[in-house]
Amino acid sequence: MNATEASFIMIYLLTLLLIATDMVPMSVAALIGALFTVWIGLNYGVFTYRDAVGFIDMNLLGLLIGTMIVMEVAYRSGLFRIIALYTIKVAGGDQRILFVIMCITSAAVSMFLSDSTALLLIAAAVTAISRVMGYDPVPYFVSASVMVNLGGTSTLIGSVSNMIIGLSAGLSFSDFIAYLSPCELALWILTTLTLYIFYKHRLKGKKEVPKYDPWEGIKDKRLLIWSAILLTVFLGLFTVHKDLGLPPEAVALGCGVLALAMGRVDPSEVFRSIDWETIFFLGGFFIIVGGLEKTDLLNGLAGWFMNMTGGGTFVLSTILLWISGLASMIISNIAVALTFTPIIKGLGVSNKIPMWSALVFGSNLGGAATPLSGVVTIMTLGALRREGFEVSLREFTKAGVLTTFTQLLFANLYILIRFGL
Amino acid sequence: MPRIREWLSFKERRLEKYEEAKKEFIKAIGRPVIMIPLELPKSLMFLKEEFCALENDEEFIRRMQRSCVRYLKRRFALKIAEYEKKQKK
Repeated sequence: MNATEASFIMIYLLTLLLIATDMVPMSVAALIGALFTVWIGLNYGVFTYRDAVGFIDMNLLGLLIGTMIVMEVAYRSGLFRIIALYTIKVAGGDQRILFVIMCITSAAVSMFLSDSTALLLIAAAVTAISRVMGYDPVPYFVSASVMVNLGGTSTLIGSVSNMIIGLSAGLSFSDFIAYLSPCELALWILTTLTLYIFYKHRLKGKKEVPKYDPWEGIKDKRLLIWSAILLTVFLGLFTVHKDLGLPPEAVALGCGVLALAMGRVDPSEVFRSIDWETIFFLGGFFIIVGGLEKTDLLNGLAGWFMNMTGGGTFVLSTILLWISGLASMIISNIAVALTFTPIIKGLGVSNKIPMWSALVFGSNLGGAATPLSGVVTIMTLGALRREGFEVSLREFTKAGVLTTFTQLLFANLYILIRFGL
Repeated sequence: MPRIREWLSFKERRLEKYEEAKKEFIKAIGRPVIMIPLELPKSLMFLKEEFCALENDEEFIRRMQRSCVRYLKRRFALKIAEYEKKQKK
């Protein structure tokens, strides 16, 4: 290993350390790492400035921004609020039924909204209903964070790491559903059951839900109907984008423009709601990983993986699933996906779908294991504290680790059966 | 532990949106809550601290609640009468 390679590894590891310890915000950590990568790369002639700019995957950023715009307009229309309000109405006042339905709704909403927005919506709904009914909100909050994290695994647009993996692997929206949805559905049931057993003793009691109209408070019904239509078109186009010869980012950006044009919302407010921190983090981390790729370090790592496992697809998938799952418990799942993507590309295996699937599961499922695993879990604790409830880190970790390991084990089994390994 | 708590609170910046959403849900399902800016009269500027403490003064909140009921009943007497008529039917 020469000095340049060693420097790139150091930059990468230091950036991960900065992200994991949160000494600086994750976007700043990635940008600092990118700055040093570019500086070393240009000085030692590893790559040109044009190469460095090319490391940033503009297709991914397009997909991300387009999706964020569509979902923000849909969120502002009150569409997801109505879904949550109807859910509570359907569940009635029985705590156990309400718990199960809220778990499923959390995962379902998170298939479309970003994890943090989905959690905020569910947490707000849970707070309102538990205040009115006098229920303990802790089981609902903790379960919502686990389910929101799980729900994001299901679709190409469910999480940023899925977008990274999907675009790198050339997996379409329908490929994601075809390869992963059977496992996802089973995981929804399994995780809800695990959480239910975990919190069963705290879910006693039944009260009458007050009468309310979910449509009350919707200021602009036309916007809501328009958002529902747009969302249907958006998902429909995603399902057939491969057949139409359209790249996913074109669908997302096209629908984003339509949402802004027809949505009758202030575009400046929508732009302000875009998660710029993630976008800058992605830009920075793309450059750091690009630097590593230029030195063939990641290819070397891929070769090492091949030698170690003998090229066995099941062993490779299992290792990838668990390493990425455990890594995402500590660092951002976006960083995990960006790191493992070039490694999987470098593997000399003809069918890489099992490995891509393993990375989707691993990088997503680890995100709710501990209170420090991701934004969603941290926000859950923060919201609970605001409501005057303290959850010990131990209690949260117990629920998170239990469900995460159950999910990873099940996903491992699914990969074995689904791909006939 | 305190350091972890401090670190966690740093990560809670996104919770403003939560407060907004919560307000909407409470308005729909439960009893809505309003926050109004109340200014200390100029003539009582020497009671700054006492005024600020009213935020957590239960007796004051109770009196405000009562005065709110009185005001609503007076201001919307017609609407209340219509509602009661409907309920009786």
